[in-house]
Amino acid sequence: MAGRLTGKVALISGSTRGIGRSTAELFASEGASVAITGRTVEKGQKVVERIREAGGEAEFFALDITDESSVHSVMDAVADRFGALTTLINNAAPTDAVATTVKPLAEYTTEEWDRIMLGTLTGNVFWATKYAWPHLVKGDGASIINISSGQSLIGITGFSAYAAAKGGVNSVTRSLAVEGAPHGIRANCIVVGRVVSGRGDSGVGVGEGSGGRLTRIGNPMDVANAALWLASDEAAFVTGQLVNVDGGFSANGDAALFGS
Amino acid sequence: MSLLEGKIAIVTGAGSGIGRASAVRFAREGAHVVVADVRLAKAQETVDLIGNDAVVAQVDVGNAAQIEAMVQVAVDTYGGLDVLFNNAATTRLGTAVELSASDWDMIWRTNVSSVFFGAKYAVPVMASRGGGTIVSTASVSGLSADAGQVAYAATKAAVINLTRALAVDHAGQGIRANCLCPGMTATPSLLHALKADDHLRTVGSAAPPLRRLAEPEEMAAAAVWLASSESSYVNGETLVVDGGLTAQTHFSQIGSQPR
Repeated sequence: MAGRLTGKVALISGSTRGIGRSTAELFASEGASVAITGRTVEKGQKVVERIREAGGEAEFFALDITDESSVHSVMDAVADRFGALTTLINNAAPTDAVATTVKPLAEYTTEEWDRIMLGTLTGNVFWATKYAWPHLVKGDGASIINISSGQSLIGITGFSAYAAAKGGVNSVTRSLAVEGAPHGIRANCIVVGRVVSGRGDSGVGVGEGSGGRLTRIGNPMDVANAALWLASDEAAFVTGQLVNVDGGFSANGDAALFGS
Repeated sequence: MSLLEGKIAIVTGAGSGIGRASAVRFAREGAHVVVADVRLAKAQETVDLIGNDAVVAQVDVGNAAQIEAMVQVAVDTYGGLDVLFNNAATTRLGTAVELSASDWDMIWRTNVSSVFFGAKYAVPVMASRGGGTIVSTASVSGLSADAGQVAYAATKAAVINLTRALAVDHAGQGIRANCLCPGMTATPSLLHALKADDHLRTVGSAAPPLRRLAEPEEMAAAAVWLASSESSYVNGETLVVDGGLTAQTHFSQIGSQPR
């Protein structure tokens, strides 16, 4: 049986662990060729091996999302290796910077602010999309999926830079949908709620222990499944959308949930 | 792929358009389907399209007793209920001044009370089986308003927040509730309206950035996903399938040519 992503070539940033890794493995199992990217070669190679052992096609590319020339050369290298680049999953996140810079906005240095903006928005979405674009316009059923956070929808003390950057991710998704439509490129965004993935590298600071009203915390496969659907041709009329994968957290008006 | 293998589903408004496409798709994904519509002959056509594993139910969704009976059809025929797709809807054109109070009531019952009745009778059955999913068809007209559609706009917005309320209330019982906001979709009723309206026909397919109408099957694909366990952490969500229509403003069309 043909997979739901057969013929697609997907680059997933930040795919050596967590949501990115789960997404890469699911995509490969549905027939996509996947580019695993990240800074840690050993971890990336392990993901590639697992995918290949399961019969999928994958290759690792060392990528520093905060280095424009690295982003540029990797996008070209992926298209060169697989003959196309149809699907871009902008999933990288500056998790260390976010986790170690928890403080009120007034106490941020410009360097701290810039580091989070760079890893979340400028490198992860602007550069990645800019350099993938020439390949995406040639792709069949091309789409971009930005991984955002529930932090873009609500204010939480100590995370202003991350919230601002993710708000930018949401907003630029709509711009890319409108700009991409004439070229056959769809753009959507998954707004991730509380998801446990490895070191808790998503939904940082949203709090743990309570899964909201769905009574559980999310896992990387919850996000991967949403990415699969959005990347597939089943979602051919879906573009410019923010899809919340949060167990109902954002549907709930109960502010008292925070801090409980 | 069989996303709904062995699931028991009800689709309302399944005699045509998005409902019919969804009933057919649900069945193809392995579900047993109760094909509900107020138009018995239309519902029967859909059942005939499906072949096996479908049963007809004639239902006015604005009538609580008939919704209760519809849920009972699923229980009696297939032994329970896992998926309720509240898709039936109606409209009458008119501003607040023009629309009659009785039409307002009728549209409210059909588009909103139907979802309330559906939850009232489906939730206990789903909960007794450990959970289920409710999917409801709202509309992009529930996100912003279109001229001369006061009741449709109001009822579709109500479906969106009613969905959130159901999600919050019943998540603890393992029941998810989500809604789908179609953009302009090439259903028989829309195509009929386009035939009578030159302006609508011209702008309808040009309005979304993807520059086309949606096919009912594309809405069915979204409904299947929301009904399936692949969306198991998606709850209270408004999934907009509109070709990018609501991602843009009308200002974006000023000075640019439709492609």
